[in-house]
Amino acid sequence: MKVRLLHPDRDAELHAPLSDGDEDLVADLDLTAVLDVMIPDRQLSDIPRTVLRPLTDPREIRWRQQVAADAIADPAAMRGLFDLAGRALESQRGSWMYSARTADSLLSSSLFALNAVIPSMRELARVARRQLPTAISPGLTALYERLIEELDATYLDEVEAMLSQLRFPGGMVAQAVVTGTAMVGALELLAPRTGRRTWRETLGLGVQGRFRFTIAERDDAGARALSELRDDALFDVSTVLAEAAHHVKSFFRQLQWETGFYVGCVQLQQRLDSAGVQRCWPEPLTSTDGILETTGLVNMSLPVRLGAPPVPNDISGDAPRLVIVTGANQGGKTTLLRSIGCAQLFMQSGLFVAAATYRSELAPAVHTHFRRAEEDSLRSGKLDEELGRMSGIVDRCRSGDLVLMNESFASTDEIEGSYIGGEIIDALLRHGMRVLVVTHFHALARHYLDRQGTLFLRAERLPDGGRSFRVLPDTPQATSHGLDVYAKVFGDQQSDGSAVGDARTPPGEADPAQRRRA
Amino acid sequence: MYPAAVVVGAAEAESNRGGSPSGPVRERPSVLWPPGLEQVPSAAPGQCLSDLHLNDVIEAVTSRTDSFQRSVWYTPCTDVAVIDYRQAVVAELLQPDFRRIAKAFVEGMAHARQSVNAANTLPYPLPADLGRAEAIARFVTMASETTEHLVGLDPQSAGLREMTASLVDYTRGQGFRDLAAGIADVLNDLHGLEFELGTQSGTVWVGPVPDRQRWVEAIRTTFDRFRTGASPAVPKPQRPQRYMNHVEANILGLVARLFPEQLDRLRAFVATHADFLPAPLEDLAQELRFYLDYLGEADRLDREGVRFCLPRLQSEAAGPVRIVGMVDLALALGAKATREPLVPNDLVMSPSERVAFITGPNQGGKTTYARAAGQLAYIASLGLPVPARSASLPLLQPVLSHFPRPDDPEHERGGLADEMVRLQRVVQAAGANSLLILNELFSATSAEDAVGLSALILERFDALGCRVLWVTFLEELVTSTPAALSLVGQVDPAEPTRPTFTFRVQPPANRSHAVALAARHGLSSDDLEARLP
Repeated sequence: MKVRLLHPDRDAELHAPLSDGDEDLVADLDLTAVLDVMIPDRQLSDIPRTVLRPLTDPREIRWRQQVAADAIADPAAMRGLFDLAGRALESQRGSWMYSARTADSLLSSSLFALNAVIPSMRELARVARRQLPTAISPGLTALYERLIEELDATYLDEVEAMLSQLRFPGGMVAQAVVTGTAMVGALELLAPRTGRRTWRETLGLGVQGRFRFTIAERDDAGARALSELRDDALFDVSTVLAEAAHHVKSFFRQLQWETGFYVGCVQLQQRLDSAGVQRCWPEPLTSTDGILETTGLVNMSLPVRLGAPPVPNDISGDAPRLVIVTGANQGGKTTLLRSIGCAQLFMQSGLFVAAATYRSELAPAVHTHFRRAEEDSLRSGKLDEELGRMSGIVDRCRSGDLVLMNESFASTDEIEGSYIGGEIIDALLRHGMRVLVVTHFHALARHYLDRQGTLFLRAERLPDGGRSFRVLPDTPQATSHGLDVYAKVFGDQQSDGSAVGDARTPPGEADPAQRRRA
Repeated sequence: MYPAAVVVGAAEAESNRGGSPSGPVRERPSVLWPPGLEQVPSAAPGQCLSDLHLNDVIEAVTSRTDSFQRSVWYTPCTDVAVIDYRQAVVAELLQPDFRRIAKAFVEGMAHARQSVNAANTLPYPLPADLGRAEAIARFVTMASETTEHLVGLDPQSAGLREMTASLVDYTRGQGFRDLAAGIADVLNDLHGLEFELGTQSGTVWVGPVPDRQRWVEAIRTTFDRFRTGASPAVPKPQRPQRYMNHVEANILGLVARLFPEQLDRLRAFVATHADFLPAPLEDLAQELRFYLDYLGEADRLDREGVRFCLPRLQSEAAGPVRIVGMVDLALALGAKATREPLVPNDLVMSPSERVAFITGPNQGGKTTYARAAGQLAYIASLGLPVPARSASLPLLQPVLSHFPRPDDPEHERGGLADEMVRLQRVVQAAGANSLLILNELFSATSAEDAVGLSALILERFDALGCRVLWVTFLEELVTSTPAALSLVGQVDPAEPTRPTFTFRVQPPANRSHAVALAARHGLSSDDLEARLP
């Protein structure tokens, strides 16, 4: 019994532990609110974390996109499967009252569990038959077909009959041999006799050559010894039944998990739609040139929280392996970086993306290195922390990965920070990673001015000093510390940035914090 | 695992070859003591064992209840000839073939003894007789196989040759041959007799095998359809620990009624062979276990990268010490909860160097270093391989130690006085062949005082002519004793606060500084080049 809604050829991993960097990814990309919307049930709050484990096979992405489209088209059907799985698992609760330490107890527990779940299996087969005609995706269609075939009524009748025989109404009969251990061994359970038995047999009497004894009624030690003998004979059978019960339970867990993912997908879709956010099925590319093109891209977390669509951005470029974003503070640089990271993860989870169009190359993983705002601890300690996180990323990084750096090494001065950052970015590029950098270090940006395959973007600043929150292609602009000083000393008003109307002409966009530092 | 030293051991074995498989066999053959050099094993641990953490080593390689093993560990050899005898045995036991046979023999003997003991305490006569019969059968097989294999391997060490000879004598005897033939007949008749066993509530029945199918496969096939792709780990029930009791005995009684002839014959045979285990073989097995348990641990550590070698021992006490790559065995065995890393170190002392001072940063492995050397000398004196890449040293014996003790409120004497008394006992026990491991002497008094006292003690050691390893923080003591060797714990040059746990011969030294932050995180250009895939 297989679910196969998240992958065409394997089960999704349930409750995968957080990997190194996952928490950074969620925090840096501001994903918490988005993932929360995708929780189908409070007990299963980690299902949405699936988006942190990007797929790299376009076939798998397509597989999920189609199932997701089915779910969006008929939300009740997906929800119905999810709820049915939940009820099946609920029916298993009573089996916990057996210790399952001995074979006998394990057998009882498994018999209980299997008996309890069979009605759910019958219902599942009915649901599959009813919903098969409306499913379009290969994933759902194949699941329904498997369920119809595997859970046919005759088979389930046979299973129920076997379960009642395993309660041994006519006594338990095994074959045994004399062994070297002074105790009878190699106990093997024998099948119940087919056909009717005589009443003498029913009582275990009268068969030629049989010898027998009965344990005294108050002989507790004897009863224990006898039950151990039974446990020995039942060992293999109890394991088979326990495995069967486990498989059934894990099938329903898998079904609950995988349908839960799509239930969450529908919840997010409904939230985005009601906020008026445009979404599309993105196009994953298998080339490795650094292509990243999008129109109308927004950061999902804003509409999810605020219920209104934010300012969209477009990116197009000549397959840049390195994108450097500079420009005004509070100008949407971080938001852009987040929306790209989030869109990339959603695309590689087989889900929709909050954009009009989105096509990008597949990345084995997305890494984020964002400046940590708070904790104004000692400078050296902070840089140490930043370097430590970067070192962790270096450990995990593989060719093709997407590395998002937001004001990295801003805890040191521009010269040092640019030097360290440049060394790292250079190395990442040399080893085939794609890098997106938000920085206010001009020295760092300038380092890449003439470098091929670099796309420069700048947060737009309106002539009146306000922000449009749009990020547009433009080369970095030197901030004017020297000029400022010169101006102050020599009193030349022309070079003061605030006095210059055109945002495209230098200088003037230096953020206040930087000025203070200068 | 045992590089050059194996050759040394083997060569020594060659020159020390004693009897041949057909040669004379002592009434009590031994793989520990060569003829004429038997020592009385000591029941009590030596003085240094606790300080040097050798107690933990012994704990790890011997069973708590095995007083024989412990007594061998408590009895360092006083004659290099005994060590040669043992090293030759060890050199052969290092070969997989010999090891396997020795192990099978030791385990087989122990198992036979356990089975007999278990049968003797069983209150159910029929099961007890079956247990005895099985014990005899296993012993017969094991003894024949061990003998045959040993003869085939043709051991060269005097110890294993004597053992082989004694096994050959025993298994060729008429008594053993009758035992072997008899037990085979009896058990062949009995084993594999099949019958039906049924239970329903409190009733048990035994009868001829009925004409019914085995059921498990049918059940497995039926439920196979529930199989999901990923098979989760299903908790297995406990295998019932069935032990002999009146129900089992009753069942066997029913089985005996089903097959009466076979069981009568068994009873008769076992009664005539009650006492079948020969004492000299049991003794040999015990002695072999001493080697095997230690070598087993050594193999395990070797897989973790700890090197062992057979040390080369000189009988001349004043000879040179040359130990390369030694480690603290208790640390390697994980016997002590510590975060100190396992770092191999060398100790080289020329014949004129009697005293070595060990100084260095706190928590820098000084005590561990001294302990490792003391352990090594002790273990070498047992004829066993030592945890080092190579080792050549005199037979240093006894190994004595003086470590600081936490103040004992029950003692009237103050810290210094108590220390002095203990030190005096150590000095008294010491001789020209001794190795003394001293750790932070006179820490209960002022440094100036301690230097003066130490100088006085040094004179005594000088007069004795013994070897001394002395851990101290008194750098002045080191500089004022130019004849002594000075070993200094090293620190990471890039970060002087981090000790490397290695020791070098140099004058006592202070520390220096320098750090590069990004480089420390492995983010320099070169590091990145190497780290990124």
